[in-house]
Amino acid sequence: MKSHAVAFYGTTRYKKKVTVTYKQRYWKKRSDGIKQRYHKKVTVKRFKYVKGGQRLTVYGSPEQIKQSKKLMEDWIPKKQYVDRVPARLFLKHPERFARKGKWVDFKEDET
Amino acid sequence: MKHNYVEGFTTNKGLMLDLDQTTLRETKKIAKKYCKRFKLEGFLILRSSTNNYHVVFNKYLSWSKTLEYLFKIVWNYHYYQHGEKPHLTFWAILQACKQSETLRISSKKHKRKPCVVLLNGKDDKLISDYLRYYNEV
Repeated sequence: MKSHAVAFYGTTRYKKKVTVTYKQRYWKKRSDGIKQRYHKKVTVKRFKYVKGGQRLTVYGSPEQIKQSKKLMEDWIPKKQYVDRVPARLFLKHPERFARKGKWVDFKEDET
Repeated sequence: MKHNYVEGFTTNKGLMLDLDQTTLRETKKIAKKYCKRFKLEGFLILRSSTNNYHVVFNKYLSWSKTLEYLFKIVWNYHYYQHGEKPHLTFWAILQACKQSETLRISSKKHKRKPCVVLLNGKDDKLISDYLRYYNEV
């Protein structure tokens, strides 16, 4: 049935665009001939690996869902949220919706 | 083998509730009341962990009707009858964002798989679909 699906969700590390602000040093020659150091604030967008919740929702026949469950042990969602993927397509081309990686357990990482 | 991911049953064709920090008595009261009010034919109560319950209603509904009923319950639950419990509100907002409702059907860290506590009324529509997915895990 198309209206029902199985969601695989958990914690992973994924790439996210983050704005980073830092102080940049630069030197300027004054009118009296002395070089002086100044600072300016620079805001840049960078990609960073962050820990967070990710989700992949799969629908299809029970057998296809069982197979995709096995596949999800080694694969994690490509984006933060990937919704309503047909299990038939996911089994055929998992690289379109997911990438190889491991699910992270927050508690294990902290201790 | 134990996985770090969690499995959930997702649907946009019926009403489900995630009642956190609620007693069984209160859960029964809420389920019975709204089952009768919205004519939802029957309900299934599951315990996800101590004092956390899931409710699945039997009748198939369109997504707009589901949202209408869900937020009517949230409105009553949050502001009038049952005191201030924002957990259901947060959950309802998240479900509205992703246009489907999800309830956990597998174990999660130290928590067990949800166990069936009570079945009332008919169980031939959404409840049977839910139990089919529930038994596969």
